[in-house]
Amino acid sequence: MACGTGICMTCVIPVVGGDGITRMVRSCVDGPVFRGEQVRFDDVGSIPFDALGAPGWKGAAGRGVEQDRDIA
Amino acid sequence: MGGLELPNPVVTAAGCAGAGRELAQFFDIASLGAVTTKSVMLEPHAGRPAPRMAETPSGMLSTTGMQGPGLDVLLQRDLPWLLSRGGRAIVSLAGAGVAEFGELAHRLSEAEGIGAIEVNLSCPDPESAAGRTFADDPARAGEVVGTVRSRAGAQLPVLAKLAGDVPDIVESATACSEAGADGLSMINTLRGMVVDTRTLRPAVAGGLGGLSGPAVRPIAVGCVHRVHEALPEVPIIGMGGVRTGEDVLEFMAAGASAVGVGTVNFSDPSAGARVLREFTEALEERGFARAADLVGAAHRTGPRG
Ligand SMILES: Cc1cc2nc3c(=O)[nH]c(=O)nc-3n(C[C@H](O)[C@H](O)[C@H](O)COP(=O)(O)O)c2cc1C
Ligand code: FES
Repeated sequence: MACGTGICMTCVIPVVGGDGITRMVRSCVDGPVFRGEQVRFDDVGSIPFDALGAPGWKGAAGRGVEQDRDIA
Repeated sequence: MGGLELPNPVVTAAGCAGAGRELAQFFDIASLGAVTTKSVMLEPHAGRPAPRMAETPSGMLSTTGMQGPGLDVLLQRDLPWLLSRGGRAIVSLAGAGVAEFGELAHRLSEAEGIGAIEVNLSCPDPESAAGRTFADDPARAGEVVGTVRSRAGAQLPVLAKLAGDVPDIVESATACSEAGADGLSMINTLRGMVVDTRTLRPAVAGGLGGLSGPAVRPIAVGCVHRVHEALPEVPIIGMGGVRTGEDVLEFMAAGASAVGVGTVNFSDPSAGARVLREFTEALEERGFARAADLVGAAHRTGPRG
């Protein structure tokens, strides 16, 4: 965690949003408290294949979607 | 700045200020010369696994892997927000190939209110078997810049962001300038590694990271000086390890017309406003009426006047 204000993107963890999409969210400002069942603890430290913007993410499905949690 | 008018020379460095929203909690983002936004790709990008950063002597090593929400979110959410606050935007682009750079430039030219676009040449070149970036090969860098210049609207200034860890920065600068860049930004982070001596593995995912912060400043100032000497007509945004107003003075004396604040934002979120204030005071102390008079001062010979 380099900045603690949401600008450096070094503190990200995979969290499932209300829409079922996993995003790499900033633990400093999108957290630091998350709903435990939405955090993909086993995938912390990796990018889940199906996370938004990861290789397995279905581009067309989520394209242009406004995120419910802000990812800069 | 090559067709880009800024009220003052202090801007944020790409990837070190988001799109200004987070830093706006700490100071008026419109007071800066411009906000350079995090390099954007066409589609959302999840970036690299963690750990993404390690501390180094007087600097940091980082690798975020271009994480971002993609162009649509920038255009629909981040850019309108920045402009609504009176901020000026330099939009940094990152492409997975020459064609993506061109498409980004084209789409951004249709948007309103963008001051300039900055081409992040430190993106891996998919056509390089050796894992090089576009910045590593002046010819490829020129190809990207030429494509962006031809697909961007004629009114939109194009800045080429150069890497400092290349054999000949003047060759890179010349290639980009000849390909149509209106200005140059330098330097990006320097490739480096930290090995965790407990695990005996690289400290950041993927091994290599980008070194930034005060540790790189003399290298950056040297790059600016060399390029300004070779291409005195080409405006430069200098960056790398700026922490104070004095550092801005240093970059401008070496030949920069504007200066980017990057890593310092992480430890001091109001650094942009502070650096600008310190720079303005330092300029007055030295008797300069205009910041522009300082540009290239370190190249002049004879007694200082
Ligand atoms: C966490 C981080 C993210 C960065 N992201 C980008 C980026 O998206 N695009 C880019 O052109 N440069 C990026 N940079 C490089 C900076 O813009 C700047 O060129 C470099 O860090 C040197 O300046 P500094 O020492 O003041 O940070 C990034 C640097 C850091 C530390
Ligand atoms: S610590 Fe920098 S974005 Fe969270």
